[in-house]
Amino acid sequence: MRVLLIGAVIAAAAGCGRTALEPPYDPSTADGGRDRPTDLPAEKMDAPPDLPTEHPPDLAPDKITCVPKAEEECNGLDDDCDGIVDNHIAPIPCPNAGDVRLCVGGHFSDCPKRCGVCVPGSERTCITSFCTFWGSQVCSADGMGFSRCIESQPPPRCRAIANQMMRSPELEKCCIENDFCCVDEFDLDGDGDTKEMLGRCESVVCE
Amino acid sequence: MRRALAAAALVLGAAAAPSVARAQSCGRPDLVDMVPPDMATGVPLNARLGAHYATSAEYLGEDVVLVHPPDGRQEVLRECAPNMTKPCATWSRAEQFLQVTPTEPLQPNSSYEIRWPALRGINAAAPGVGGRAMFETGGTDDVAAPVFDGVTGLTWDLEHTNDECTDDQVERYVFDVQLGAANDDGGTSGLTLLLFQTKGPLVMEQPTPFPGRAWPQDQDSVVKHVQVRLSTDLGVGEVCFAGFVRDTTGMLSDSGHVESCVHTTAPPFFRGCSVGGARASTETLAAALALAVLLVRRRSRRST
Repeated sequence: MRVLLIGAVIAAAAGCGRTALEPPYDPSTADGGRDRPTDLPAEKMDAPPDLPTEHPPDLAPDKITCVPKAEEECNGLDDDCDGIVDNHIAPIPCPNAGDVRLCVGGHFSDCPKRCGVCVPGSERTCITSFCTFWGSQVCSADGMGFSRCIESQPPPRCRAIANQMMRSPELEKCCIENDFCCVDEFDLDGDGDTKEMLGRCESVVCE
Repeated sequence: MRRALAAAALVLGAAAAPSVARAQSCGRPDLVDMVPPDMATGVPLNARLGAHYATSAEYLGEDVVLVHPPDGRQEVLRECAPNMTKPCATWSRAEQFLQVTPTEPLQPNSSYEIRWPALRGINAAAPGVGGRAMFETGGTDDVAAPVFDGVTGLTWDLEHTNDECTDDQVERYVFDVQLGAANDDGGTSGLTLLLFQTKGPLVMEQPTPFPGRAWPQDQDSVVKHVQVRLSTDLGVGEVCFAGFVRDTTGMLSDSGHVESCVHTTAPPFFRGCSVGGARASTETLAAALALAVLLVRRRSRRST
């Protein structure tokens, strides 16, 4: 009993301060430890051993010059040598009038969208695995995702199909044909995407 | 006709609201901010005036009213129509930004009031909240592009909140984005911040834009902070942000190359005993051993 108590106290102290899901700290495998060369002087310990740490002998450090290209490109470099990276780059127009793609972080951005995944508070129809085989999902307040599928009664026009065919492509088809916004779980459009939405989704999608 | 159809669609959308219990604030199409904001001064004479609305807002041609109190003149700015030559209101659906250009240039060193309409929302039965801003003009036009030091710092945390639309517990990475100094010849009150996620698990070659927001005015320091929330699938691993500021004439800063990055950890995680630091020191071990020995001695004394 005494041994167990001592062991528990020591184990708790040793583990204290670590993330429960992280491995125990080992200095030999800590950041940079594995690749650090051991046969170099201290001032060169951080440099890769196979690269020179000084400028080439034929070019003094203060003589390094920028060679300007014809014009600046969106690549994270100062192509025109004016001291500013990726400046004076014209935006690319998006399909929606007035929206543009801007050069940021060395790449042209995506076209802007009103939300991330869905319009906050909007609703789409999902097909459940049992009982009514019909449900709905609500878009979160920040538009970043949907709730779980909450079961409900299918509309009268799809009730017979739900009873006979249960969870089926026919039920999804009924959902789409009756102007609901429906999760394409059965890939009815054949594009391989079973997470997209089909049907009347103007008030749900972000585009 | 188009407006009538859109209005009917909104009403039908609201009537067909799902049976899930939602807070009243879920998806409300409220005004978020105004550029320039209320009580702004030194607004350039060639400024375009704008207002950001919540994601669910839909613009159906509601009027924007610009009032010039000194002479009591009131200008109603309507939605732009094809071939319309008069100044009108434009709506950016992607940015949820309603913007107007006054018919005549703003008068120098004068006061104005602008009234932004309450808009309807796709999934809300009632219209949202509009806004009004009083502002003072300066004496000159805005002619130069703004200068912005870019995103200069980034920290992160994970929060669990109850979502007001789904009534579910949701996990979100919260990024505190530190913004460098910004300046413009039209003043900072006319700036809009455009942020981008330049790296992340789902950001490929094209950085992802966030909706523009008015430059933060409620912080006194030169360095400002804004918060960005991302779902766990968008925010885990190496995440970077960069940004621009845009002035009221539409000119942008040259700051898109300044990135700040951070590496987030996937939940669940636990950092216990934070006072002790990240690693158990030899001192901690020695103290624990001493405590154990003390306990053993006390027990053996009692038993004798």
